[in-house]
Formats: sequence, C-alpha cells, structure tokens
Amino acid sequence: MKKEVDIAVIGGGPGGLAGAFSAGKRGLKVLILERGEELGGILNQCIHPGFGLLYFKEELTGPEYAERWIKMVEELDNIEIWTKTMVLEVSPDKRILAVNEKGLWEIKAKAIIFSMGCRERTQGNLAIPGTRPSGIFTAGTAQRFVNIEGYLPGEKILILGSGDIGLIMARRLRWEGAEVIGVVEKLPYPGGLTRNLVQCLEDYDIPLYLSHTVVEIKGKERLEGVYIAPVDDKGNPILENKKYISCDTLLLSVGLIPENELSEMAEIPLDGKTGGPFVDQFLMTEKEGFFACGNVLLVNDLVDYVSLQGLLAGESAEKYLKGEIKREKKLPVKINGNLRLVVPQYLSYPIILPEITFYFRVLNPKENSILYLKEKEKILKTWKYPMVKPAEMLVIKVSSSILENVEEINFVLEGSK
Amino acid sequence: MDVIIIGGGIVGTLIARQLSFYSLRILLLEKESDIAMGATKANSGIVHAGYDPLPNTNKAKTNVRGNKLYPELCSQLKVPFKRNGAFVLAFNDEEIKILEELKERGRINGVLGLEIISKEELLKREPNINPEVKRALYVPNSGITSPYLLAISALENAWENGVEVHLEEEVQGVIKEKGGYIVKTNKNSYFTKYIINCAGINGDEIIKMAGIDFSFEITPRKGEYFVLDKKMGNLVSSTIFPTPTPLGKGILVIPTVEGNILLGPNAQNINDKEDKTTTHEGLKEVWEKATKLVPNIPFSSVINTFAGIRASSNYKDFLIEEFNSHKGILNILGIDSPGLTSAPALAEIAEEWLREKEKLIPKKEAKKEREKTLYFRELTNEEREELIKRNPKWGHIVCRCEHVSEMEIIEFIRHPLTPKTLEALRKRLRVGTGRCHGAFCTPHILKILSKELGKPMNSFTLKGGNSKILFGENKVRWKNEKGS
Ligand SMILES: Cc1cc2nc3c(=O)[nH]c(=O)nc-3n(C[C@H](O)[C@H](O)[C@H](O)COP(=O)(O)OP(=O)(O)OC[C@H]3O[C@@H](n4cnc5c(N)ncnc54)[C@H](O)[C@@H]3O)c2cc1C
Ligand SMILES: Cc1cc2nc3c(=O)[nH]c(=O)nc-3n(C[C@H](O)[C@H](O)[C@H](O)COP(=O)(O)OP(=O)(O)OC[C@H]3O[C@@H](n4cnc5c(N)ncnc54)[C@H](O)[C@@H]3O)c2cc1C
Repeated sequence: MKKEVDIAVIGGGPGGLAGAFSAGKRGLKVLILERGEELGGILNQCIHPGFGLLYFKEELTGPEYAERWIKMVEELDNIEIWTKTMVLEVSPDKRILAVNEKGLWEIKAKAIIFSMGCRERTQGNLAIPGTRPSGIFTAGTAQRFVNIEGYLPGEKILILGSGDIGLIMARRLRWEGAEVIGVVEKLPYPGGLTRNLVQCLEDYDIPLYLSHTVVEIKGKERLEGVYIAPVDDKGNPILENKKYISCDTLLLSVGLIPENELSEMAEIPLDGKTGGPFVDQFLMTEKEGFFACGNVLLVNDLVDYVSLQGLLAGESAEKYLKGEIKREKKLPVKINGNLRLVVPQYLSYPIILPEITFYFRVLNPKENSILYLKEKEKILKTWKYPMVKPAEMLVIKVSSSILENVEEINFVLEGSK
Repeated sequence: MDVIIIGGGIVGTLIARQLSFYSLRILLLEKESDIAMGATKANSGIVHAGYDPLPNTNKAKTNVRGNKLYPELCSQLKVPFKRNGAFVLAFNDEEIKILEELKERGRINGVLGLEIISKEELLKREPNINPEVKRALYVPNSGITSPYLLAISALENAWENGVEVHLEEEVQGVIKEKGGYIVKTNKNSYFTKYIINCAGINGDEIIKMAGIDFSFEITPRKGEYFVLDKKMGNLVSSTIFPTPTPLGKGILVIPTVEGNILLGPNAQNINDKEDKTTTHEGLKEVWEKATKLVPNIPFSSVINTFAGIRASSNYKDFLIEEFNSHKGILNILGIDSPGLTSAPALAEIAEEWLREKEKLIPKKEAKKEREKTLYFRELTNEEREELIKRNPKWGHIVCRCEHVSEMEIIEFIRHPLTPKTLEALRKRLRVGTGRCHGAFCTPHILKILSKELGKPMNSFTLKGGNSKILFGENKVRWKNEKGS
C-alpha cells in the first residue's frame, strides 16, 4: 500500500512527539510511525519522577511527561499516528518501507525526522568470559519486566555499570523486595547523574565498586554468581585479585548506542563520537531533508533536551520545505581540551536562527573548568563550571550574531583535576 | 522398537531421517531440552571440501562423500547451503610447501578444483585479507550451512515420516536381551532390536554402559568463537583458513549463511565434558590469530561469544563399529571435525548396515522434501502483503534485529517438536541472536508464549532445567515478608 505525507517521523518517543507537534503546528501533514503499542518511547517504563524540570518546571514521572506531549499531538488533526508499525527500510530518496497488521506500506515523505532513540549495549558486546546462563539482562529490559509486565527478573542482583538506568533499577528492585548486592563500575568515577547516585544508592546503602568489572560468569542454567576484579589505570582487569560474588541476576547498564540502522540505510554519514548523524544547527543531517533529534542524535541525559531538539527538528523541516535552508557555506565546530563530542558538528550559513544551542560531553571529571569559544586565538565567549562530569551534558546557547562572520569555531574546555 | 537412536545431534537426526523412509519403528532419544544442543549447536558450520583428512581414513571418505550430498540434502530440507569457497593462507615458504601437500592430499581424497593462487589473485577476490600473505590454496568446493537448522529440519522430516522423538530423556543403561536390547532412560525402558549410538561426547559412556570391552575414550576439546555483527558481513565472502598445523585446522574467519562472521575456534583440551565456558586466554588467542588473517576488525563489532566441544578420541579417526560381542549396536563415535560435513555420508553407512540385517521396505507415504518455512525477512514485499492479509500477526514485527513476526513465533511454538524455551526459538527463528541480544524481543516472546500456552510469563526457561528467566510477580517476596 502507498502513502504520501509532508513529514514522516520515525519513532514516537519524546523526540518524535515534539518533532511531530512542531511540524504539525505549522500546518504540515505529519505521520508518526512507532513500533510500540503506545506513543511515549522509553518514557513509558520510567515510572520514577525526575522528568520535565526544565521544560514544564515541574517534576513529572516519565509516563506523565509523555502524556502531556501525546495530548498536544493528538489535538492536531493533521498529525496521523500509527503505532505497532515497524519501519524496515528508509531509502536515500525518502521512501520508507513500514509494516503493521494492516499490511506493508511504502511511504513517500518530503522530509523525514529520525527519532528512533537508542538501544543498550549488551552482554554480547562485552564478551565477558564464562558460561551463558539465564539471568543476565540489560537494565532497560529488566525495567520493562518490572514496571510494565509486573515480573521480577531475580532476587539477588548485581549491577554492572553505573549508568542512570542501572542506578534507577537498583532502587526500584530494592523497593520490590529484591536484594541488590552492589553496582560495579569499571571507570574511577560513576557513569550516572549525581542525583541518581544519591537517591538510588546512597539512600539505600547499596555499595558502588568503582574501578572494578565483572570478569567471569558462573552457572550452567541460571546465573549462580560472578567474579569481579579491580582494573588498572588502563582499564585492564587484575585477574589475580578477582573475587566471587554469589548472585542470581546480573543487570547491565554499560552504555547506550543510538539506533541508526535506518539512517545508515539512507546513506547518512554518522559521527563516530556521538554515534548519531552529523548535523548542523537545524539538526539537518548531511543528506538534505533528513533531520535527527533525541537519543538517535546523541545520548541525552534529560528528556527536556530531547523535546527541545524535537521542536527544532520540526521547525527546521518546515524551513527546508520552504527552501529557506541554503547551506551556502559550511563551518565545522571544533572541540579541544576536555571535550569528547559536540552537537551540532558544523554550522550552515546563512545561520538564519537567532541563537544556537550546543550540546557537549566531557572526557574526564574536572573541577573549576572554563569553556572558551574561540576564533583562532581570539576568545569570543567563556562559560564557567565549578565541576564537569562525563555523565552530565554541557548545554550552552550562543547568539548567532557572534558566529555570523567568523572563520573558525573552536570550543576549548580547560579545568583542574 | 526396531531402532533406537541415542543422541539428537546432526548424526542422529540425519540417521533418523535416512531410516524414516522405511517401514521401521524408530525412536530417537535426546537427553537435553532440545535437539542440536551438543557439538551440532556450536561449531563453524563449514561443509569442508576434504583435502585435510589423511587418505583412506573414515574421515576422508565420509567427508568427500558428505560434501557431495550437501546441495541436494539442503534443498530437500529447505536449509541454507552456500558453496562460498575457501582459501588456506600461507605467510612463508614453509607454509607454501604445506599448501602443496594439502593439494596433493586433496587430489588423492578426490577433491576437485584445488588450486594454488598468487597473493594478487587472492587480494583481488578477498581485499580485506592481511597483505603480508604470500599464497593461498583455493578450495572451490568448501561450503557453509546452518548446522542446527539442518538437524532440526531433518528431524522434523523424520518425525513427519513417523519417527518418535523423546526429548529430556537420557539413556542410563543398555542391557543385552534375547533378540535385542533393553534401553533404560531416566523416564522409561524400551526393548529394541537395534541401537545406533551417536551420543557425541558421551558416546564412550554408552559403550561402557552396554558392557562393550573396547578401550575408547573421548577427550573433549573446546573451541571458542566471536560472533560479529551483520554489518561486518562483507569482511570476507569465502572461509579463510591459516595453514594447518599438526594441532588442527587453526583459527578461521568464517562467513555464516545468516550473514554474520565467526572468528574461531581455538582448541583446548578440557576435563569436564560440560565445560562450555569461554575464557580470557581463549578469546584473546582467537582474536589475535583471526586478526592476523584479516586485520582491522573493530572490537565493537562483536555481538556474542560462545564455545563448542569436539568429541575427539584416542581412536583419532571416526569410530564406525559394530562389536562382535554386541551385535545390533552400531557405534558412530569420535565424530569431531569434519563431522558436520560427514554426517549425510554417515547416515548412508547406517542405512547400509541395517540393510544387511533387515529387509528394508520403503514406506510409500514417506517424504524426502519439506515445505519451505516462511521467514518474514526472506519474503518479497508482495508475499509479505499476502500473508498479512491472511493473518495480521504476520505484520507485527517482534524482533527488531532479524525482523521476525509474531506469526512465525506462534507457528513454531505450535510445532510439537519445538521445545517451549527461548533458546529453541532462537535457534529456529534467530530471535534474540542479533545485535540487541534479545533486549527488545524477550518480553514480547515471553508474552506470546504465555498467551499461546496459557501459562504465566515466569514459567518459561532459557534452555530447560533451572534456567528460568523471570522470578515471581512483583512484590511477591515483599508481601510474604509483610504477611509473616
Ligand atoms: C531508565 C531511564 C531513566 C531515565 N531517567 C530520566 C530522568 O529521570 N529524567 C530525564 O529527564 N530523562 C531521563 N531519561 C532519559 C529520557 O527518557 C530519554 O532521553 C528520552 O526518552 C529519549 O527520547 P527519544 O525520543 O530520543 O527516544 P525513545 O524514548 O527511546 O523513543 C524512540 C522511539 O522510537 C521507536 N522506534 C525505534 N525504531 C523504530 C522503527 N524502526 N520503527 C518504528 N519505531 C521505531 C521506539 O519504539 C521508541 O518508541 C531516562 C532514560 C531511561 C532509559
Ligand atoms: C568447535 C567446533 C567446530 C567444528 N567445526 C566443524 C565444521 O566447520 N565442519 C564440520 O564438518 N564439522 C565441524 N565440527 C564437528 C561437528 O560439529 C561435529 O562432528 C558434529 O556436530 C557431531 O555431531 P554428533 O551428532 O555426533 O554429536 P552432537 O551434536 O554432540 O550430538 C550428540 C547428542 O547426543 C546427546 N546425548 C549424549 N548422551 C546421551 C544420552 N545418554 N542419552 C540421550 N542423549 C544423549 C547429546 O545431548 C547430544 O545432543 C566442529 C566441532 C566443534 C566442536
């Protein structure tokens, strides 16, 4: 079957909802394609509070936050919503192959917004030696079992990786009566937000083993235990010092991977650092008419940023359809010092937008840091941070007037240990 | 029973099928929760050409014969098979000499088309190979298949032809009786005229159980592997071997019929026959040696690791023997590499053995051909559309990596030979074998199982026994504690 729309939004999580809303509000004919049974994406299983502080200035749970956006989207007649619809392919000429219980669909769109979110790194990616029993889950899958299906994945639980999902699941499982033995983290510092460390581990006396990792899996049928070992400065485990921990469940919270298989099919270049497409200030990818927002663009720690990216992607899609995005010149956004990644990776000129939001992640935790925006040796602007951490995104806004006539854009983050 | 087959590996299942074309009462016993849980589950999946085994051995004969039988067998059973060819690489003059020897051995064994080619020719065909290579032996007849799909399809075919299959039934005793044997299992006792012992790694125990006086010992040898993401599928299109050493064929780079790449296996003698663990040292060795053949493989492309166990024996060759003291028991043991390749030929040998003892009457209704299983990912868009019209569940995709629909899962769950475990579905449908490792599909599959079988989600296991996936419902323990 065939269908034509102005904007196709792939993924109905917070990124896609905001993208659809923003494009819909501008009168465009929008179609949201979502493989889940409901809109809302990963938020549906995040039943803890902590969402929306920036955008709604209220503390909401994940489903509550999603509900607000779903309402906004449903109120617009020109937005069509297809759930239980899996997108299988996207071609470089903006044809989408999708499938649902009604049939197979070939959808032609004038612009496409990618908002497929991310998936978790798995046991297979880590290649931990030992047996392959049941009882090993990614934290997100465990979260789904507990919060949506209503089942406990186990009773004696060890968590590998101190990412936010793992931390939140530590508390959640404790509430459900499971024993949470501890959280093991390979790096010398935690991977999750400070508020989650305090509220999910410290408040419940759950130990955090920094600079440790799981080196062996035990148990033939169900997991019986694991060996953990300290790691040296280079992250290599010191096996002589391994010790046994008895547990029936191992949760992995070891990182998220933007889900860009579809973007790759559409031949869109990806940034090895973010795992998402290269974009400009419009969040338009290297291939014109394709936009990206949310966790498919870069892994965000706050949903509010995801929504803001969605709003921008929807607005930009309209600009693109009207022919307002010119790309007469392209300037890369350079990063140096303690910066690991940046979005957008380059600016298109003319800039058009009044201001540009930049998202960064840092390499190492550091105190008393200063972020410089430089053109060659000239400092254009500075920002001060008492503390920067890899777990927390740096987000800044820069007025376009500063960047309109520069020859180089170079962000440098400097700080002390 | 007329025949009891002990062991549901590739050897047992192909023998069951071969004998199912005749009017015989056949029972296959397998101790695990599913068939193909032993060596047949975890191996390289290569249909070897046959230049490697020493001439005139059982290995050489069955290997070359088996390789010939593969295309028709796989087309009858609707199992993927591809003659993707192989290259054996030589990195120095000594190794080039060995290539010459292999070529000559292959000629004696009856392997066609072997050719030693230059570095330039090789790199033209396989550009990602280490450019330090000097020469290669080209092996056009080498192929690949899916070992467990072949075993599953063969046994389903045999079952359709009337063979009985009992899973989770372990043979624990074999007692000589007038005119046959009593086979004792953990659940039952059966009288049978003939036994075919193809119990893989445990075959020596069956020999002892039966009281056969023959010093035969299996020394398990483990092999470990990495599985790479399908994104790496273009790394090589042929199977890449190093020059073999007296210790074995070495660590390879192997395309699979599913489109992934395997790196492995190493060879480690072990004591425990059940020890399928992967190890730090083993995986390190595999990685180092495989990346010597094909450098620049990113570690981030690894999506899984596993290990398999070869049933190597002190007999060196395949043991294909009926002992005088125990007429009526055919032992097919010590089937290490190239056992997968040889299995169709071993099945022929089993048939001939029985034909000398019994008049084999062909069963009229027995079928050799199977209907093709429909996999959503392999269908054309028109076929997909047609199926969805017939049943909308074909349009509900449950596995995001391998694009498996709800209906495919339901159909397999309903098949009487499918164990109701997650791993059984993985083997048959590839759900949970992709890059997300089941993170996405596991909840969906448990839900479908629960709905189909009317049991709660926490009653299902990964692979039988105590391998349960979920514990109780939320707050169960909580409630209990509060209640007490
Ligand atoms: C456990 C956890 C705790 C968190 N806690 C907080 C918190 O306290 N506060 C906070 O602000 N943020 C939090 N976050 C972060 C926030 O939830 C995410 O950043 C946000 O949900 C990402 O939105 P998204 O739209 O990019 O992706 P998602 O929400 O993942 O949505 C992507 C959607 O795309 C769909 N999709 C993907 N591929 C396809 C396809 N091929 N066809 C059709 N549909 C497809 C998926 O089904 C999914 O619905 C948390 C996240 C997690 C996982
Ligand atoms: C690492 C590795 C790589 C290999 N690569 C290749 C290759 O590329 N090409 C090739 O041709 N060959 C290869 N092989 C060899 C090939 O895999 C084996 O030869 C073949 O699978 C053996 O099949 P089988 O049926 O004899 O044994 P198995 O598959 O082990 O089957 C024996 C079965 O018997 C069952 N059983 C045992 N005891 C009992 C009992 N008491 N009661 C009931 N059931 C019992 C077991 O549970 C098992 O399912 C490889 C092997 C390994 C380990």
